[in-house]
This record gives sequence, C-alpha cells and structure tokens, in this order.
Amino acid sequence: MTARLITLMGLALASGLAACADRHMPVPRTPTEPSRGVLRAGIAETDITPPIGLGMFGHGPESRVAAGTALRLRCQVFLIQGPDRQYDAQRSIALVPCDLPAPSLLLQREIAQRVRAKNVPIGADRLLLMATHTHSGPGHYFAVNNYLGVFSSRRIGFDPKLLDYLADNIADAVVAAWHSLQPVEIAWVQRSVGSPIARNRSLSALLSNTSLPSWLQKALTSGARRPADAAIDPTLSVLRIDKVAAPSAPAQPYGVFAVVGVHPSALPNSNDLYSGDLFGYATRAVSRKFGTGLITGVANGLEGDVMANRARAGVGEARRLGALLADEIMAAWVEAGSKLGTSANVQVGYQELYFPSAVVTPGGALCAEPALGTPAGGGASDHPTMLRLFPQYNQGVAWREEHGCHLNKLRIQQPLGPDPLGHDFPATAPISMVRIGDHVLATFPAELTTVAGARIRDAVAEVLTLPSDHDARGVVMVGLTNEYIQYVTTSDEYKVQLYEGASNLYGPSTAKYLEQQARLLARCLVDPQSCGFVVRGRHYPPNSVNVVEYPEPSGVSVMPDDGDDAWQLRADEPPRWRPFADGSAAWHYDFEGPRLAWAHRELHASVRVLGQLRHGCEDDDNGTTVMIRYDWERSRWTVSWLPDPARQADDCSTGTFQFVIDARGQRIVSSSFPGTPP
Amino acid sequence: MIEGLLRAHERGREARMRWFARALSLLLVAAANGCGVQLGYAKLARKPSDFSPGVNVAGRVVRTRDSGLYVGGDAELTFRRGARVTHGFGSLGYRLLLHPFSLEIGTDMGLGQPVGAPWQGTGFYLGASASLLYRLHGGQDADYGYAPIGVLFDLVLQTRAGFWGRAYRDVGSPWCDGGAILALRVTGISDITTTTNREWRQP
Repeated sequence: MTARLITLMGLALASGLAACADRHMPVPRTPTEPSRGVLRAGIAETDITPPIGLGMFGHGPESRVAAGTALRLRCQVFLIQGPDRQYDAQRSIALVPCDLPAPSLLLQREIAQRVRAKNVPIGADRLLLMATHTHSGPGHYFAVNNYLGVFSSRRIGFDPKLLDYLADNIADAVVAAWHSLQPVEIAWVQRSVGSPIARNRSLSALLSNTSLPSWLQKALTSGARRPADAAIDPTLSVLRIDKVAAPSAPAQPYGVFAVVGVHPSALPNSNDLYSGDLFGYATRAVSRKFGTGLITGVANGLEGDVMANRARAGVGEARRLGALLADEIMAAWVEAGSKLGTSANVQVGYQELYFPSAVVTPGGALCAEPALGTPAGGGASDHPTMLRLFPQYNQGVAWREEHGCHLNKLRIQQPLGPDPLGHDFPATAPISMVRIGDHVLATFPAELTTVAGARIRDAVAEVLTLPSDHDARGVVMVGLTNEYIQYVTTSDEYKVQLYEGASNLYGPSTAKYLEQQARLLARCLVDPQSCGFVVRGRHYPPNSVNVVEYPEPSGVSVMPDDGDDAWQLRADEPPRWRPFADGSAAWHYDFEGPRLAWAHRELHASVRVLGQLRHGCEDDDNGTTVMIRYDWERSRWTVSWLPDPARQADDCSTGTFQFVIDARGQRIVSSSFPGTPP
Repeated sequence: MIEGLLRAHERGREARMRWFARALSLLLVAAANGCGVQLGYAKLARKPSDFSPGVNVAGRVVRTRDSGLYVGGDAELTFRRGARVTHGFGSLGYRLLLHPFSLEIGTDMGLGQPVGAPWQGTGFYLGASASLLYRLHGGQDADYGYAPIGVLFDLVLQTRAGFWGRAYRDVGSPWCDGGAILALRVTGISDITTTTNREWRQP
C-alpha cells in the first residue's frame, strides 16, 4: 500500500513537473526550390468552422460561447510563385487570410509543419496567416496564458484538438493550392474607399499626435466628411489574379486578394454565432458575382482605431457593410483588368522579432514586461465590456505622472505576478516584407492605428523608393499576421490611454521599433546579400525560423468529443415566424438532432423552393441567409432563414418554401411556408 | 441589468454608473483590498524554559501599496494538555511597507488562557506584538499597477509579549506570557474597490 502511495505521489510529482516545462514550436523552414520561369498561382479555400461550444475571442470577457453559425468561417490560400531565378529561395509566398479573431504563431508553425510534411516547399517564413479579426470566431488556439483566460473569453483554456483541427484544415488548403499552381497574370490596384464603411473610434487619441500625415491632415480639414469618418486610412488594395489557360486564350478570373483597414465588428458583442462578419459577407458577394470559380479573400490593414461604420450592430449591418465593401473590391477588380501582366517577380523577406527590452535607437528600448492598461479591460467604444462598471476600466484612465517604461499606463497586474518565463503575452513575433510585382506587402503581428501604420508605411516606401502617400500606392500594409501582440499606437496616442494605447503591450516605443525593423527588412529586399538582424544579442540572417518556446498546455480541452450514435432527426412543429432580439424577424424551424456539438459539422440545413423556379432564394448553411443555432436548455436545434432582398437575384417574398435538414443519412423536411410573413 | 447600465453609459450617463460602482465596491470591500490569512508554528511560554509548541492562525486586513494601519486577529492552538484553542486576540497596529520587507507593530487584546496556566476560567490578555515580514512571491503592491485580484506570499516572524489577567475564581498572580511565531501569510489583494482616483487621471 505504501509503495503504491509513493509511486502515485512520484507520478503526480513527475506530471506536475512536466506541466511546468516548456515546449518548442515546430521549426519548419523553407527549402531551396527550382524555378519554373513562369509566374504561377494556386488558390484554394477551406471551411474552418469549428464545433459549437467553444469560447469566442475578441470581445474580452464579453465573448460568448458559440451556439451555432450565422456565416461559416473560411480561409483562403493565395499561393504565388514568381518566375525569376534571382531570388531563388524567396520566390513563393502563401497569403492565407482567415476568418479568425487573431493570428497565433503556434498555429502558423503547426500549419507550416504539416505543409512541409507533405513535401510542399512552404515553410513558416513563407506562410502569412492573416486573421480578418472577426470577433465571432473561436479562441483556444493561442500559446500564451493571457489569450486563454477570463479576460479573453467566457470559456477559457487551451485546446490542442482545436489547434489540430485548424492546422489540418488550413494546411490541406495550402497543399491543395500548391498542387493547383498554374500560370497566371496578376495586377495590383490601390484606391480610396468611397463608401462610408469605416470610422475612427478613438479620434481624441489620433488628434493628440504632434504631427499627422499630410493626406490625413487634408482629409480632416477639408470638411467633406465628419472628422471620425475622415480619420481613417481609406486605402483598399486589390490583387487580381487571372488564370492563363493558353497563350492565345482569354484569361479567366481565378482569385481576388484584398486588403482594407476596418474592424469587422458589425455584429454586437452579445453575438453567439460564428460569423465572418462584414469581411465574410464581402467575400461571398464578390465570389457570387463571378460564380463558383473565383475565390476571394480579405485581409485587414490599418484598423487599430477604426471601427465598422455601423448603425445598430447586427446581421443586417454586417451584410450592408459587406455589400459596400464587395462593391469597392469589384470596382478595383475591374480597374485592374487593364494592368494584368505575367512578369511580376516575387521576393520575400521575413524576420522574427523579440520584443521584451528590444533596443530602439536612439537610446530607447521596449518594456521588459508587456502589460495591458486598465482601459483595455473595458473594451473599445464600439464593444465595451461590463468591466466599465468599475471606473478604472474606462478609457483614458492613467497615472497622472509617468512611472517607468510604461509611462502613465495603469497596468493590469496578474493575480500571481508576471510569469517568470514570460508566457503572459507573445514575446516573439515576425514581420514580413513581400514584393509581388510592383507592390510590396508589409505584414505586422499587430493592430496598427492609422497614424502609427502610416508612419511605418512611409518608412518602408522611402527605403524601397516607392510612393509613400496613401494615394500614391506601392506599399500594402497588413496587420494581424502570424502572431498577435495586440495594438500598436504612436507614442502620443499611447499617453492618452484610450483602449488602443492601453492595449499596446510593449510600451510607447513599439511603433518606432516596428518602423526601424521594417526599414531593415525593406533594405533586405533592395540588397538581399548584405542584410541580417540582431535578436537578443545574436546575429541572424533574414528568413530565419527560430526556436520559440511556449508553456506546456495545461488547460482542459474544450472541444467536445464525438457524440453517440443514438439520435434521430425529428421535428414536431411547423416553421414559425419569430422575431430576433434586434427586432428583425425570420422563419425558424426547430428540430431535434445530434445533441453533441461535434455533430454540428455533419448537420446540413437548407431552404428549398416549391413550385416556381426561384433558385436565387435557395440557400443552405454554407450560404449567407441560413443560420443554425443549438439551444442548450431545450436540447434542440433551430434553423433560421433570413433572405437578403438587397443582394439576391430573385424576389423571395412570394412563393412557397421548405426547410430541409440532413444529418448522417437522415432527412426531415418541414411543412411549407410562404415567403411573406403571416 | 448590466447591459442596461452599459447602454446608459453609452448615452453618456457616466455619473450614475460611478455611483453604482461605488455601491458595488462597498459590498465587495470586506473581501478585498488586502486580506491576509496566516498559518504558523508558535512557541508559547511563560518563561524561556517553559516553551510549548502551538499553531497560530491569524487574519489581517491591511492597506495595500502604502504603509498604514492594520486590524486583525489571532487564534492559537496548543498541545500542552491535548490539542485545544487556548486563546484568541484582536490586533490593531501599524504596518510599515519597505519592499520586500514590512514591519507590523501593534497591540493585542484577547481572551482565553495562557499556556501552562492551571486556570479553569477565561482570562484577559493585553500585550504588544512585532512582526517582520519578507515577501516570498508577488510584487503587485510594490508596483504602479492595478490588481483586479492578486495573491501575495509572505514569510512572517512574529514576536509578542503581554500580561494575562487571571480568570474569575482562579488563583494566582497575573501571568506573563510571550511567544515567537514563524508563519506563512497569504494575502489576497484587490484594487477593484478603489473608486477614488487617488492620483490616477480620468478623461
């Protein structure tokens, strides 16, 4: 008995010690690849909607537990391979915009690891995982403590199963894109968004800057728009990719990659359905315009202080703003038609930065310990949290005097003090500089405010001798790529301590540091032979993929297991016309089905038309008008149909319709209902 | 209710929210700011040759981040005549915060029986104590920060001395008593009840 007790205690001690240990992220590097001498691209798309029951990420402690899907989450892969031998090892890049709340270096490495395991020469240094920043996607896949805790979601913990699920799906799409590489012609267009899609949510911080870019100054003083509407970077960048089947044949639309800076937060923070939000609706609208052959992806730009220009938050506004964005993208796509060419080179620069105490010249440094200010807990003005009930969590709260590296920030402290191993927030995060044709994509692991991003863009343009003004084009700024160090503001904005400044982890010099590193990386594109980086006192060549440690996951897996098979599809009541909480109304159909959340992936709900041909009204839960939700208390699913009259080809207000539910070979069909409300 | 308050906040009625926060803070104050629980090994004696082992359980309510008054209480379990709670004190004193050390000096008033006394009744105690604390883990209260909730660990060396007034019907002279205690104190702190700005700036 005693021996057994000692053995058990020993095992417990050993497992406890193991739980304290660090793990290394995978280190998948890119091998040298032969050149085909032709500009090629492969494009693929994958669904990454996870099961329900996971905590969503983006609204802090307000983030709900997912109960269903309003608009399925997707990733697109734009794999572009340059024709030139000059940059032999740097010729391919995978742009991967995803309907995720934030990027995670761990997820990016896991994807690259899987891609390399399938002999596709795309390492971590060639894979840009770009989160759209939808606030209606899952958390649980981050490597740091603070993105897995109560300040990040209502359901907490790291989930290795979700990490695998996302990495497997996205890696498969990268591999599919690689195997579909084909000759293409491409063109960039950058233009100003004319539609009122976005507005600045932290105008007082922006106006606190001692100097503003000339274009922004001009926009603010022209009086043409309200100051909050004018105080944004209106740049929309669109990369049009057309397939070239044969030299004599006309090119066919293949893909559209767009970048625009706005928070996709048209949905309220009380939303509990997965959704790609306004970016998701925009990509569907563009792809629908061209049929099923074209894949559209949208990445986020300078959006740190920019919110969706919504009225009342809800699905209606997400659709409306998504439609406006789609119109802008299509206008740019048309404009790009006259610029298509096959001679675009691809050149990639990638650099992993280590933020704690990083040197910022002249004579400065980032803070050794990352920290959030209390206003971060209260949320931004477009999605406040309940913590604002406490005065210290409101915007602008700060020390009167400056104290140390974080100046006047009123830092939120960890319950047990900072993690001595530095796993509270990301310490390592990469930046990239990717030349595709005549434009350079500059990616950052953060949400850059309008002015902070504009200054970095000017610095990169200066090194690359590209036009710097936002109208002049050339540098495409992308945030939220490969890792997430939250917000980066200017030092002036930092001192105001609104939500963005309070969420600037490494102190007021972070924007300056990123600007310096971006300059260095841009110089590497100009002269690849003579560049290198110093990280934590060691010299690294560019494009190094380094070892990054992260804590051994100790959280419980929140992704539910497969359910039992003892279930049956059944519905007792006909469809009903019922209102939503926001006042809108729709047809709903309740049914019993596979109870456990994993089965959600096997459910398929659709709406079909009876009698007259109105194919434009038919839709399913892969589309934009069918939502599905599980009611935990009633143990029932509800499928809802919300036709979108503004975007659908057919009039769905007349006619007769039915819900059709399929799951694991079973099917139920509802009684018919009219398009108009009763 | 919370969503209603948030909507009120969005409409600019912040003053009402602040009053609500203050009211909520008052409800929470008993469990917050700085509440320490201490468990220690005590040596208690009337004279140096008469030490008796014991267990000290104590609680303290302290002001965090700055030096200030403390209030608290101690209960002591001794093993001289079987395990029993022999006496309990209430304490009032001043805590001097000098990170990573702090010094607590105060007066104790209590009821019970001194160690070793052949008393049957309940006596009255009046004495003084001094405690030296060394911070083992957690520096939140040494920092210019805001701790929604925090946990601090201190090593405590406490000494005390005092007089016992004998119990009713017991015989003998007033009893001198002293002790030394080595303890671990776990303190929970929270700034969430601080509704005043102190030196913070609000917009």
